Amino acid sequence: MKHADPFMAVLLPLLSGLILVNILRARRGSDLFIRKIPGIDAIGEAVGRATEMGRPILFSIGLGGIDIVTLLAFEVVAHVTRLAARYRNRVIVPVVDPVAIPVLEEIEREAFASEHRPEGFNADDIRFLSDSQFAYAAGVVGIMHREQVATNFFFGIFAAESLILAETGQHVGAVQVAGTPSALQVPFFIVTCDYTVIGEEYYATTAYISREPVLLGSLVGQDWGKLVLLVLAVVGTLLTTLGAALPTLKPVADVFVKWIGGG
Amino acid sequence: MDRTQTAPAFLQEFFSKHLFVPLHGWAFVGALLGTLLVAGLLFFLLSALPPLARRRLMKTLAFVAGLFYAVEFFWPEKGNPLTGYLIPLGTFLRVMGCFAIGLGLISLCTVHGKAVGRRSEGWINSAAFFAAFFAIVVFGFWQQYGKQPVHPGAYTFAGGMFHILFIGMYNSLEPTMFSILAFFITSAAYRAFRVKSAEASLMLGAAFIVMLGQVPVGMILTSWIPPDSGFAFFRLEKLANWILTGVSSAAFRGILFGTVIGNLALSLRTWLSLEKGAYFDKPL
Repeated sequence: MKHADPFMAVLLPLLSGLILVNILRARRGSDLFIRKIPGIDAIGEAVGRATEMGRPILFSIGLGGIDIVTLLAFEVVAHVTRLAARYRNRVIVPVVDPVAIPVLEEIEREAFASEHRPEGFNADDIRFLSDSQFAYAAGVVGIMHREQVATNFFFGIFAAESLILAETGQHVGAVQVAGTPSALQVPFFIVTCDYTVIGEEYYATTAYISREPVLLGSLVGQDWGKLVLLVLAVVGTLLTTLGAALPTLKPVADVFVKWIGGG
Repeated sequence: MDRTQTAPAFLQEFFSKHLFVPLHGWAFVGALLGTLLVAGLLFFLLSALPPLARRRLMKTLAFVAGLFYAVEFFWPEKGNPLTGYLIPLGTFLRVMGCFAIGLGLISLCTVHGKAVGRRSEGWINSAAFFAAFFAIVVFGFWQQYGKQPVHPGAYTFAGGMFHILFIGMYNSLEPTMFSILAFFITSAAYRAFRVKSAEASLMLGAAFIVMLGQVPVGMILTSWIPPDSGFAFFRLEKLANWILTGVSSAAFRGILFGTVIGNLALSLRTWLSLEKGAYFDKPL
């Protein structure tokens, strides 16, 4: 296990502090602004389209189980299921990790109950397919074809199967909304999906849907954190460039680069 | 490196001699029944707690567990008293996860059992699932606990069947599915590179340069530019390298910055039980 180097020992508490300060500000009623995220705005439209076509919705949470990234996907599942319940549609959720089954069942059951349609919940719509990556992909592809899904949501952790899923969705003519923090899979989703929630936007999803002060505050804290990283990057670039030209600045640049590099 | 070496001696002895040792016979049955009894008792006690107290207990447990990893990370490596507990704690978490194996099996059998029972469309696929499932379970146990081959490397009937089913069929299906990716990449690339907007044209141009810069024919096209001249940057391999390491990497790192801070914020909210939503204490 890695331990904190001097740079991490300063940076992590600083970023955590910025996030917590903004959560406190939001709780005290500060008016916080977040920009529009088209991918999340499109969720309602995508659910509505499936309902108009009289076909079900598929929600893939990717290869995750109960982990920090997939927990956010659970919140989107809840939101989509509530909308689907309102429009009398259903949401099929195939999973890789059996641990997620009872959690997702509870989430769907509560979502249907909150829309006064408890009878709409069907436990068979939460399906364990396989814990193997490509067997899961094959299973999801089969569901898309058999059920002729009208809308696909891909939120969570994805790897090489992302393109298999999203391309099949294109072939069955589904509207597709995807979101993943995995920078490697984002390009595949961008070219195959109608809307893609990219990188950090994924972590803004719950705040955007709920407008909950704690989540909004955390989002603003994240922006402050990015500003800190940007300043560090600019200072580092300037010091390194000037250090190469001015010998008096070189020791300062070396110390800074060594500190950032964990030395 | 053996992480238990930095744990206090008495705990090291407890872990290695009493807690994580293989048990056999009646000792195994006793340990299994005892564990089930303790788990049942804990489950009963948790269920008996009022919802508010249960939530507080969960929050406290989440905080203590997170605190352990945070303190272990920030405490200097030399003389860190917590590092020794990482592996036993990881083992404990893995064991907890194993309890959920049956859930997947129940889900599979319910969905496919209903399809077979109702003879719904495609029920034959569900029947194939049961046939495959029972075949691999039967031959798996048979080859493990049945008669073993006399000659090394040889197969018994059960071993051969298991080999055909698992290595021959299941393992081959994985790369087969993966190979489909090649065709999907082509169709996705066709859609992405259609010139329908200024951005798509830019991407097509960049992709064209990067692809040409990776192959000998692309390098030949601009080989007439002397490598030591002021225009050497315009050689296709150099342009391709600049797009990959300059433009693309910068965008990639920008996304990573945001993702990492987002992950930190989410972890912090979960650790301090500040997270809201369907999985947590308050529906959104």
